[in-house]
Parts: sequence; C-alpha cells; structure tokens
Amino acid sequence: MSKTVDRSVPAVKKRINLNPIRIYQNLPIRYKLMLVLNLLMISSLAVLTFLNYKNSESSLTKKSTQYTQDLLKMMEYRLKDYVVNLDLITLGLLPDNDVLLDVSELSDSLKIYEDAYLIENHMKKEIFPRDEIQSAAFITTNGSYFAVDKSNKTISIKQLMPYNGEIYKKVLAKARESKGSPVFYLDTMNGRAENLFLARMVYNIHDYREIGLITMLLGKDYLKTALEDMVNEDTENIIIFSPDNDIIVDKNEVTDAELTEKLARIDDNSGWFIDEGRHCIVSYLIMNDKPNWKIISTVSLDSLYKDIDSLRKKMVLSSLAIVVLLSTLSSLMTTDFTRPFKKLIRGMEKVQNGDHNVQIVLNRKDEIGYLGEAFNRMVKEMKNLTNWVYQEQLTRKDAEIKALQSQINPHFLFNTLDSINWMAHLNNVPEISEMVTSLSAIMEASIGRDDKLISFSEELNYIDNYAKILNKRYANRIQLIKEIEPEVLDIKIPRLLIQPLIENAIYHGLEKDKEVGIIIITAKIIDDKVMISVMDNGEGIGEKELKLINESLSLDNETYYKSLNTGKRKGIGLDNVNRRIKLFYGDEYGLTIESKKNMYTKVYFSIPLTPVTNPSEGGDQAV
Amino acid sequence: MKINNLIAIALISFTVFAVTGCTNADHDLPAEEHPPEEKITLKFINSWGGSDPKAETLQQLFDNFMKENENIEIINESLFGDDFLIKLKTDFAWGNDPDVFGLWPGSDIKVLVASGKVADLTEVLEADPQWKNSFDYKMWYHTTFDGRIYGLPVEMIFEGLFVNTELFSKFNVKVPDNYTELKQAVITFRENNVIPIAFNCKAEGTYLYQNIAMMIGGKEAIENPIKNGKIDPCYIEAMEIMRELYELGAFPENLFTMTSVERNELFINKKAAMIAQGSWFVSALGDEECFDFIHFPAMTTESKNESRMIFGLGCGTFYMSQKAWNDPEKREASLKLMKYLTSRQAATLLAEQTGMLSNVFIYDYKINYNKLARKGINLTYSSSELIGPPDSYLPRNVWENVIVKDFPYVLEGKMTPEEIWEKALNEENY
Repeated sequence: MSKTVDRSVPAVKKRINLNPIRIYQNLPIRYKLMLVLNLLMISSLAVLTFLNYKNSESSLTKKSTQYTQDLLKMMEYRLKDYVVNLDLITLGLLPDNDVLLDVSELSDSLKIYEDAYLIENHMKKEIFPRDEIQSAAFITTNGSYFAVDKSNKTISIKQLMPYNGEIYKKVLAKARESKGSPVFYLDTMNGRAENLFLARMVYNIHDYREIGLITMLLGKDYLKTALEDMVNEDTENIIIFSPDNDIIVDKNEVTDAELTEKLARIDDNSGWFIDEGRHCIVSYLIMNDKPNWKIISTVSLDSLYKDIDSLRKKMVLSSLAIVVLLSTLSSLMTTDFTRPFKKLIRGMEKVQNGDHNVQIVLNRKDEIGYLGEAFNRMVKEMKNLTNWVYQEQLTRKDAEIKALQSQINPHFLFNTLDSINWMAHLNNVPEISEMVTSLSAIMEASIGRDDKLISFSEELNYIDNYAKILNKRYANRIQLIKEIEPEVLDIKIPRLLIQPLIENAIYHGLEKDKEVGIIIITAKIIDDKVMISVMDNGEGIGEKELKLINESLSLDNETYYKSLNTGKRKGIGLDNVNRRIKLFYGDEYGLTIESKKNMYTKVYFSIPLTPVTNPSEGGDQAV
Repeated sequence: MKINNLIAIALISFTVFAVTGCTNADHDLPAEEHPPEEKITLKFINSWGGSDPKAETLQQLFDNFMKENENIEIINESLFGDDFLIKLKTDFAWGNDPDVFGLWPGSDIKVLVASGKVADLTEVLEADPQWKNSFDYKMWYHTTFDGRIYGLPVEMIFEGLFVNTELFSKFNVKVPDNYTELKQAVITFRENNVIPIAFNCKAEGTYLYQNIAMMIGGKEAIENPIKNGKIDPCYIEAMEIMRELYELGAFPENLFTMTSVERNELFINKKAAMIAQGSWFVSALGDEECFDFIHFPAMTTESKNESRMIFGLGCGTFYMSQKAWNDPEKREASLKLMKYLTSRQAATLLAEQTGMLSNVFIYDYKINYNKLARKGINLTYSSSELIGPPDSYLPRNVWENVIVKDFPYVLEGKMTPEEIWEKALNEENY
C-alpha cells in the first residue's frame, strides 16, 4: 500500500505552461544541470569557433592581400626591368649611326643589300638570344624595310606592320610624339592586345633629322611566362592592362568586360577588392613609371580559404568531439550528483510509508555522502524511538493484562474448587459433574485459549456457565437476566470483560443476605457505541464510597499505575476490568458505577462500535 | 566497473582520438595536396617552326606526346628556315643545348658530333632491333660518323622545280626541260610582267643555284666539290648561269633584301612562275591544279635523257644532345620522345599531313599524299641519279658567309664566280 510517485517526470499539468522560466523551474535538477552545462559549453564553443574562424579568415585575407601587393610590387620591378632592358636593346639594335644615315639615303640596291645584311645580322645577334623579342625592324623614312623575325611564328613583322600601313602610321605618330623615348604600341582587337610593339624614332646625330623608326614586336608569352614564375598556386590569374585599359597579358584568357570596366574605374595606385561574381580577391597596382601599366592579380577565394575551410571543418569536428566529451562528463557528473538525491527521496518515501528499516548506500565521502549518512542515522533513530515507545507500551500492556489475568484465575479457581468441595462434601450428588463441566468451561475461558478477542455471545456463554456454578453454590438464588440486543452478540470484545462484573455483583450484592439476587445484564447500541451494564439488586454502595470508587475508576492508566506504586490498590475485579477497557479502548473509556444503598448497584461502560483494530494489524499483544 | 563508466571511458577515448586525429591531420597531407611530380622539360628545335608546313603537324605530335606523357613538357623552339640554324648553333655555343633537335646532314652536324655535343645512339638502337629496323638502312650513312649512329633519319627530301602550269599555259610557254627553254620562259614571263623565278639572296634561295650546279656537275662533282683546293667547275658555271638569268630579269627586283617567306609567297600567290624548292614545299601548295613539280631542267641547250635529283635527309633527322644524355632523367625522356617522333604513327601523320617522304617504313600504310608529293616521290624513284644536297658537302660557314652573302655581287657583276669561290675557300683555308 505504498504511493508511487515518478519523480523523474514532472506531473502533468492540466494546462501546459509554455513559460520557459516555469518550464525550467519544473525540470528535474538533473535536466537543469545538464541543460545549463550544455548550453554554457555549446555556446562557448560556438562563440570561440566562430571568432577563431573569423579571425583566421580576416588574417588570411589580410596576409593574402599583403602578399599579393608585395607580389605586384615585385612584378612592377620586373616590368620596369623589362622596359629598361627593352629600351637598352632598342639602343643597341642598330649598328653605327652612319650606316643608318647611309641606308636612309641610298637607292642603290646592292648598297641597300650590303647595309641590310649588316643591319639584319646585327639585329639577329641582338634579338635571337632574347626570348622577350619576337621580331625587330628598322624602317627608314624612305621606306627601306630591314626586319628580322625569329621565324617561330607564321607571320612576320613586315606583314604585321607594312611600311605606310595603318599600324606603321600609328606607331610612327606615337614614337614621334615621344621624341626619341621608347613607346609601347598595342595592336588591339576587342580590347585585347594582339601584338605589342616597342618603338622609338632614330635621329641623325648630326642634324637630328629623322632617319627612321626602329620597332620590336614583343613576345606576349614571354611576359606571361615571366610573371607566372613569380606567383604561387593560389594566384588564379594575372592581367596587365594598358593605361587605355586594353588587356596586354591575361594569363587564363578569362578576363571579361565587366572586370575590365571595374578596373577602369580604379583611381588609386594600388589596392584590392573582392569580386563577388568571380569569387576572388582582385589586387591591383598601377606602375608609377612608363608605360604605367596596371598589374592585376586575382586570387580565388575558394583556393585561398581552402585551408581555412579545412581548419573550420577540423574546428567543428573538434568542437563536436569536445561537446560529446563534455556532455558525457556533464551527464555523468549530473547523474553522480542527482542519483544520491534520488536514493534519498526513495528512502524518504519508504520511511513515509512506514518502512523504518530503510538504509541507503551512497559510497561517498562528500557532502552528499554526509547527507546520506545523516539520513541513515535519522531513520535508525526514528526506528529505535518508535520501537522503544511502541514496545514499551506493548510490554507494559502485556504485563498489566497478564498481571490482571493472574489476579483473576487464582481467585476464581479457589472459590470454584471450594464450591465443588462443598457440594461433594454435603450432598454427594451428581450435579458435581455439571459444575465441573461449567468450571472447565470457565477455566478454558480464562486460560485455555489464545484468542484475545471473543464475541459478545461467547462472553455471555462464559457468564452462563459461571452463573450455573454459582447457582449451585447459592442454591439458585441468582437470577441472571440478559437484555442483549441481537446486534451486539457478534461484537468482538476482550475476553472475560463482563464476567468479572457478574462475579463482582454476586459477591457484593448477594452473599450477605442470602436472598435471590437479580443480576441484569444489558447491552445495546447507542449511536456508535455499545452500552453495556451489569446491575444487581444487592446492598449497594454508600454514596461516599461510591464516589471514591468512581474517582478511582476514572483515573487514566498512567495515573492509575502510578497510584498502584503508592499502594492504594482497591477492588481488584472492577479495577481489572476498568484498566483493561482503558488499555484496550483508550483512557476515555472505562467503568462507571451507579448505586443506591440497599437498592442496587449498576456497573456500566461503553465501547466503541467500530471493530477494534490492532495497531500492528492483527498484532500479537495479549488482551 | 559500471557500464556508465565504461561508456564514459570509451567516449573520452574516442574524443581524444578524434581531437588528436584532427590536430594531427596537418601532418598528413591529403593525396591531392602532395606536391605534384616535377615535370621533365625537354627543349626541341629544328626548322619545322613558324611558317614551315610541318610546324603544325610537329606541334600536334608534341601535344599528343605530352598528353601521353604528362610528366614531360616539350618546349618547341623550332624556327623556320635559315634562322633555325643560327639559333641552333648559338644555343650550342652558349651552352644552351637543346635536348632533342633535328638537323639536315652537312658540315654543321659533323662539327657538333666532333665537338662531343651529340649523343651516340648506336647502343640504344642495337638494343632495340625492331626500332632500328623500322628505318631504311640506306640512310644510316648520313647520320653515322666513325661507325657510330648519332641521328635518326625520318624525313627524306628531294628538290626540283615547281612550276605554275597555269602561267605557262597562259603565256604559251613550254615547261622547261633544258636551259634554252628555261631562258625562253624567263624572257617570256618577264615580258609579261610575271616574275619568272622566285629567288632571293638568302641561304634557302640558293636551292636554285645548287640545282643548277647539280645538273651541271652530277653526283661525283657535287659530293666531292673541292679538289686540290679548288671548287668543282660546275659551281663556277652554275653561278655564271645564275648571273645570266639575273640579267635576263629572271628574279624579283628586291631579291637582295627579300625574305624567304616573301620569296615563297611570290610563287604561292602565283606571282612567280617557277621556284626551285624541295619536298617540304609541297604541302604549302596544296592540291591546286596549277602547280606542278618537275625534274630540274638540264643545263644544256638540248634536253637529255638523264634525270638527276637532289635527294637526301631533311631537318626531320633527329639527334639527342650529349648534355641531355648525361642527365639520366632527360636521357630517358629524350629517348621516349625520339622513339615517338620516329614511330610509324608519327611518320605516317607527317606524310599524310605534310607530304613528307618517310625514311621510316610506312609502306603498309595507305598515305593520302597530295598530287605534288606523289609526283615528287614518283620522280625520285624514276630519277637516273639521286644526289645529296650540294650545300651539305660544303662547310656551312663557307656557304653562308661567303657564297650566300656575296651572291648579289656576282649577280651584279661586281665579283666573278671564281673570285667568290676563291674567297670562300680561302676563308676555310682550303
């Protein structure tokens, strides 16, 4: 008959409360702890991971752009070298100025051949070892064309830039404008340089008249290769734009109008931006000196963040692993923390349900362990106290009852035996056997059986037997009248509860005058009680004495037993019954005597109608 | 031990393993992040570059080769025409040796072999008889020096006269069979403002002069041009003929400064009626009906029944530099490339696409030669005498620095043929 309460799950409320604080408050401590620990842990890890990732990303972008800017600077230096070098080549490309002067004025084909041989061989020696130059040409103002091609291409410089052709004219105009300094010329198609020329005017050193135009067709692949060598694997593309935003080099040939337009709008000398469309970082630098090309490098963000993405994956994986680890640890810790409490709660429930033998085992020496030990000690003390009080009471009851019963039996047996003796001695009649039979019944009632409670009818049977014996003794002067409500007959009462009252009535009411003594036994139910009375028509009790007797009878057991110790013992029979009633039903019950001198004496008492329950469920105590 | 504790230990172990696993991941690069195997770069050069008809096919072969051998990169530095030789010699002189190169027979390869700059391939060929036997043995002597084989001859060349039959028909000119007819053709074309012969004063231009000398001198004179310190008279006479043709207006006006590309274009663009050229020229002309290839006319007043032809090896004769041979990695890669270039597949592709006459046996392949190539091959087989290219029997510097260079002076009459040859031979201390 124990109550079952599931403490791990909060009782279901009639209305589901969605207030998070309420939900939190209703959570078992174990879940609270786990929730808080996990929240702390996950949020800390998430924040740390995020910050770390963002820092790495920002640092990587910064480093990459810095690296790219440095790289662009280096490229600028290389391009400057390239330009200076080409400048020097143009200076050394032609033989003696006099030869040129001669060439510009000659019309003799053989002489032209000789000079051409001289000039072309000279140019061959200059350009053949140089990868950066594809072709070279010296075109005199009068149209003599001296050209050298490396011949690894299908088209020659003479075909590309014939005398008085469009390109020739443009190159010439540009070269004239620069007054002898080398100039770059881009032959473009759709914004891309098809051919890159470097040209300068050649002047007569005597009178500074124009002799001709020297020009070189530059190898674009050389530029591309030269710059490619400098970049790392993350660099996606290298682009060189002319000041007019024509593409000179486009490593991957992927630059489109959109990017060109973006770059055309750049007005500072260096910097970078992220091109979302291409998903890359575009870094740029404009050469300070001529030819003022824009050098651009693009670094793919995918490539750049490849490592950081890998780092991110590792961080997430590590975080997950740590979350798993910490969750496990927190779960274990929480369980470790809450399990003893659960045990304590279960222990308390058992104690609440009356089990005083509970002992919980926590196997720990911390505060919770101390709590467990304290609980165990407390339960133990509770048990000891309970046992002590209960047993003391029982022991005392038992002792009292045994003492009372032991008072009854010798007294009765003595008188009965005396009667038998008397009957046998005087009359020598067979009725003795009848008496003995009655006696034996009474003997059985007083000592023979272990039943502590008997029915009212059984008690009446004892009384009848008793009366029978006494009638033999008193020559039927005893008239026993029973006014018993039938409902009362089955009510259980302590054994020999009424018989001593009959005995008391006979002794005190009949013996003296030897007349017919009427004894009326009544038992009826009034409300929730059974009212029992034994009345005799004996000599009665004096008022004063009656008062004293009733005062004695009304004492509670505690006071009564204390009074016993003071030796004021009186009226064993009635006292016996009275104490048994009080022990059995409580101090509020007990005998009361009503009497009128020389008229009657009525002893009555009530007992509760509700069946008596033994505190220990059909317990063992003797009544 | 409780189950919970066991689970906890297992989880902690897993976590520690996972975390340390993550941390240590840096030490083990994923497969794709391992540095790629470094490429072996091979430098190649021959004259099949620029506007050479074989340039495209050669590059195609290289592309295929590189696709099949991803660890090898070929840098093709081939140049068209005379420039190639200058670059090749400059590269060797500067220690910038190519790994594999092609070179026609002549004094240049002899000098390179003698200088120890060319790898001896005898043993690798001996070790692979199937490979060696894939070449026509008759050509080995061109690449064999002191009994050792240095070069792998793939391309055979022939020379002759290419004519524009359309122009001949148009001006009712007979395709020349002898010198008289040649001169007549020159005169007629000149009168009709057609350049009779596309010729320029560059080394390649001298094919005309060489063919004339060959027709005059014959095999013995060409292959042994210098006797007792003197040049064979056929070279003197041929130069006289050249001057005569020049005077007849046989050549373009700016022949002294004209480039070889311009010269070829005169014929290709049908501005010139004739050109002395070789087999390498056939693919530049395509299948146009107007072009024909004939034996070079006899340099006699009347036709003869003899049909000589310049025949030999072209620049498709491949060598490996000693420098590449000395580098084990490059040696292996170079041999691989040479085996590829001399394979029957490569020879077939060259034959099919450029009309190359292959010295590697591809007889069992059906080659779809163009008309001119077929004609050339037929003429080669029907020639009464096949003679090696004359310039290959003379020192290159003599040829280039004197003969080619001073040719305009002979044409202009400023120098006599004797003087020029005397100057040439003196320069070489003959």
